[in-house]
Amino acid sequence: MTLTRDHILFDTKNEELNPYEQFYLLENPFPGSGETGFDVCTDQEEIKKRFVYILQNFSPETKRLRINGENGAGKTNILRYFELLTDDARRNKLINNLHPVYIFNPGESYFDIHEQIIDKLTGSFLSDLVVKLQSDEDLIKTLSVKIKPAKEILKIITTIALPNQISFSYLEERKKDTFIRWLKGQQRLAAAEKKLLTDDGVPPVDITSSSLAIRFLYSFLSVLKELDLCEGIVLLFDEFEEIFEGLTRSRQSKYAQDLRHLFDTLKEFTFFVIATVPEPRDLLQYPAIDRRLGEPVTLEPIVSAELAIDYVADYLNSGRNKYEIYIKGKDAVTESSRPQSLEPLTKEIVEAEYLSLKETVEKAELNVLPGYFLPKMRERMKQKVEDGN
Amino acid sequence: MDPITINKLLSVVDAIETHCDENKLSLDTFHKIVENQGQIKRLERRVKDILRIFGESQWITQKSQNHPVLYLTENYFNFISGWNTGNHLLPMNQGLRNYPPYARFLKCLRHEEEIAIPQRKSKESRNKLGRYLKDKYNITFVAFDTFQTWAVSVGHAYRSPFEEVLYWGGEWNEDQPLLEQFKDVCLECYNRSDKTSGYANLGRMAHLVCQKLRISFQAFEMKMNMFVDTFPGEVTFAPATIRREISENHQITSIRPRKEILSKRIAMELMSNKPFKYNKKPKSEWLEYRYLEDGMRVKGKLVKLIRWETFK
Repeated sequence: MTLTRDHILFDTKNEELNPYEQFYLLENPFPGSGETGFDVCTDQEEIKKRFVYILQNFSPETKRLRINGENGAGKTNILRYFELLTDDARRNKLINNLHPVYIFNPGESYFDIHEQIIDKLTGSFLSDLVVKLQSDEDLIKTLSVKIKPAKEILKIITTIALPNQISFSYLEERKKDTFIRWLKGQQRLAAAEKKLLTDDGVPPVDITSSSLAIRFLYSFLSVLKELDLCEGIVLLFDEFEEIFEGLTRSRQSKYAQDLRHLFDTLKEFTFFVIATVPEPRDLLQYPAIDRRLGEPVTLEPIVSAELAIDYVADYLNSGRNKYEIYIKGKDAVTESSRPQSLEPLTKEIVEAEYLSLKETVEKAELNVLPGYFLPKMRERMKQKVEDGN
Repeated sequence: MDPITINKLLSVVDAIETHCDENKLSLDTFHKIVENQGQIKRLERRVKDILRIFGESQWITQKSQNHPVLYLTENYFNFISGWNTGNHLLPMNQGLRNYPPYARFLKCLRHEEEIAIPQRKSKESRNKLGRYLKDKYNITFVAFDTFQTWAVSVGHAYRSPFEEVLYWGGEWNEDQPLLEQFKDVCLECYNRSDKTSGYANLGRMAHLVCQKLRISFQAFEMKMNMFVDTFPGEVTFAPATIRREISENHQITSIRPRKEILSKRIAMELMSNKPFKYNKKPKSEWLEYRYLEDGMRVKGKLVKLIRWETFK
């Protein structure tokens, strides 16, 4: 054996020892505690229907969906699922040119979520926007006349898209990076950086206030819409309760004021989907925000053993889909065929796990939530496959 | 010894309830419970102190000193049953007043009617109050400081957030004060309150009523719920905000029902002890802190503003 020949072992070792492969899986398909499955979302038909209805009928009117659920009810799961669903529906032309923006961990001020929104929007559209503006010299002028509020931001984007700068691609990248940091706001740019974003010696205004940040976000979205790059966004707002449970009253109050401004300013372009615990402690102190979230729909717990079996089947299917993609991608020849059952689990095992969990949670007047049930199934699956019990 | 804080007391009671075998608890388990309360310099002494508090409160009996089994009494079960169900204030404040030093504190507050709370930094005023309480009521300043939170939490006192005064607030039960009297005082205080479009902040009005009637904030909440049942249409409530600075420093403190705490605990265990983000630094697992102006639950709904309809 030579060293080079033995390199092949590093490719094959995991496959040969992976006990999940015999069940047409790459790994344990159930999420552990605090983990979230993105591409599986069992049940919750009512919420899904409402989401799809608003998505299909996207209009400049107010679009809100408030999803309530305790910790472990599947709020992150459904938001992440909606993120994938929106992308998938757009690619398949089932909806207009709408793009999801998932935000979480709202931090201590509006700028914490603003940064996430800008990251997503610039990551998806800034390059296309620059190319589009470079391809038509008159476009910026036309846009400035057409969308008056976007005049300031277009002046800055012009400096990135100027035709005489194209050859210096490194400079263009630097300008883009500076533009993104400027649009994220909060911190002042250095004078040299500001210079990059001006062609007439007048530096761009520092975005140090949230109202200014929201105004430029609105302008940016207006430009994207006018150029048919993005008709609107689906803002999937996770962990919303942290603002009203974890911050001091003065920070809360400022954040609430900014959110109110955000909801009102972006309503034309944005479908707000907000996931939160049922009664965030201080939210009712801000009725203006509470009202803007709309009527809540509540995530359904796992109410029966049959539904528990559906959950298990969905996660197994998702795991098997991933395995199928993997073996196709590797062009590997496999003799095993996709099982249709809950194998290596059985209906009886799932039922027993569900009923024992139900007994525990009912004593504490709780429901069986996916966040409790799925880690339990992960553990059971591990026992079956890895420990052989 | 330092008097035990209400947080620590509830924590020990909760652990006893979790580990007891019907009405029995072994002395060893009691030791372990106290040991688990955090870093304790002299464990033996601390165990004796807490055991003495529970004994003097008539919650625990022991056949003889160092007998390996402790027996939980009816007083203890009344206390825990109130706390467990959430219908807790009256049975809990009855349960606590059995403890002689706390009973002395209540007697003192009732007699004084109101006591100005010295600022934390002002050693001189703390010493002054300490000497006065010690001479007149045999209460140390440390005991006063600890017992004021006991009293506010179980509805024996009202602590004003504006002038930092502790008011006697224990003169209440389901019948006292009479609803007619409560109504008259509420109306009088409503008239004295700042109003916008006829609406006054309910908490600020409660502040005046609690001082006048010598009842706790919790008693005001209970009476207000009884009042709207008895006099429908007399007042209108609203949840909306009238922008006004909230009071700072002192807050309204209440004991959380134990069943709520147990539910959260089990939920966290099921999520493999992953603490919820917003619970990163809980001020207290057992107590709920509120601002006076944050409103209160009337007929299950959180309201902040009140308008008197029959008075124009």
